[in-house]
Amino acid sequence: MSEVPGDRKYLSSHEWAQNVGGLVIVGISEFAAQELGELVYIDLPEVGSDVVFDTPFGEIESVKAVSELNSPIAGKVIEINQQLVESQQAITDSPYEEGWLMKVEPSENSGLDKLLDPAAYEAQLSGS
Amino acid sequence: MTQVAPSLALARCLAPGALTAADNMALDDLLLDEPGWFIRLTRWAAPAVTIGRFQPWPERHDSFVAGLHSLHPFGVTSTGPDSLPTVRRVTGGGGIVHGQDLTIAVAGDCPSQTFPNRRPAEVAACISSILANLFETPACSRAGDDRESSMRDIADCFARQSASDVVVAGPEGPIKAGGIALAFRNGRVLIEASLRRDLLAADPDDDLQRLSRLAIELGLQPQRWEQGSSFLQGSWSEEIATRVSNRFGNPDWNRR
Repeated sequence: MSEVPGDRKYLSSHEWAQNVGGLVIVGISEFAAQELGELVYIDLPEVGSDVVFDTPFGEIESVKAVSELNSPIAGKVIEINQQLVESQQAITDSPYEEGWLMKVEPSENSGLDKLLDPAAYEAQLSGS
Repeated sequence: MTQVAPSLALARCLAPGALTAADNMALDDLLLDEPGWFIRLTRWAAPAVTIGRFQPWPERHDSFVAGLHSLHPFGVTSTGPDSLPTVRRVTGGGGIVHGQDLTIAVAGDCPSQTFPNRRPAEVAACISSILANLFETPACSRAGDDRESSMRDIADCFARQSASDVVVAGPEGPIKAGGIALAFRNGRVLIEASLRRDLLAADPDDDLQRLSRLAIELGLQPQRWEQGSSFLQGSWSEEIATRVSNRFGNPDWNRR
């Protein structure tokens, strides 16, 4: 069973959001990282661009497969994890820490309240 | 008590006439967004190169295309190398030369009865094994370690090795007979495949039968083949034109 930390919330498409001092850190879950397998490329949004809740903000390629990444938060991108542009290994090795994807300044209706809590996300994983 | 088999999902079977490279890629992209299952035979108005969604655009395009020629196992075309149109796919992987290959696409729901798990490696292994059955000679999925990431700069599809390759036995070892590339979006998957026609039975009229067989092996119920351009009229025509304008026919999008 994949790890599901209790200090963040989840989108059903396996992205997580963690509110840290008003900024929201975004990543993909350990389950998603394991599902994707070996990663070869990631396309992240530009700093300063807006992301929309539950809408694609980037793409990731693994095993000749391109998958969209959906944003678990609406707001403005403040920072992206530059380390991932060179190597995506951190997503696989540490999806909840070093493998974070972007930091977002949430908008007023950020969608954070619509995310799954850890128990609900775990229940979803149990059923998949 | 008699058990009733679950009803098979219907698959629309599409065989449009020869399209430009940009139109072909735009149609595949549209099938990823349309509901239902699709099996598609892709025909090319002229030989073309497709490159992967994130593959770097070749800095020297002429040498890139010339490289495709020298690597390609069955001599692509008499067209000059600098005149081959090159277009980006929405699927991953690397460059593929089209024109004399058998190019197909499958689009449908994932997860689903056909692909219960959306794990890319599992979907790739599944479709690769089924594609192997289209060859008259014994063929199989390569399986094993994935080497694609270390070989993504090699131009030609048939010179790279990946776990999802379809391989046939050759006199000096396994020969790559087909490659696939995938894209996942909104609970759906698009699979684009290129198969070496010289290793398939000679009669190209068999293509539709082959693909109908593919649909059945995917657990789908193939509908009658829609050929020509009638299904490309109306809203699909507008959608394809928009996608060509914004992306597949746009040099900036292709070369970024």
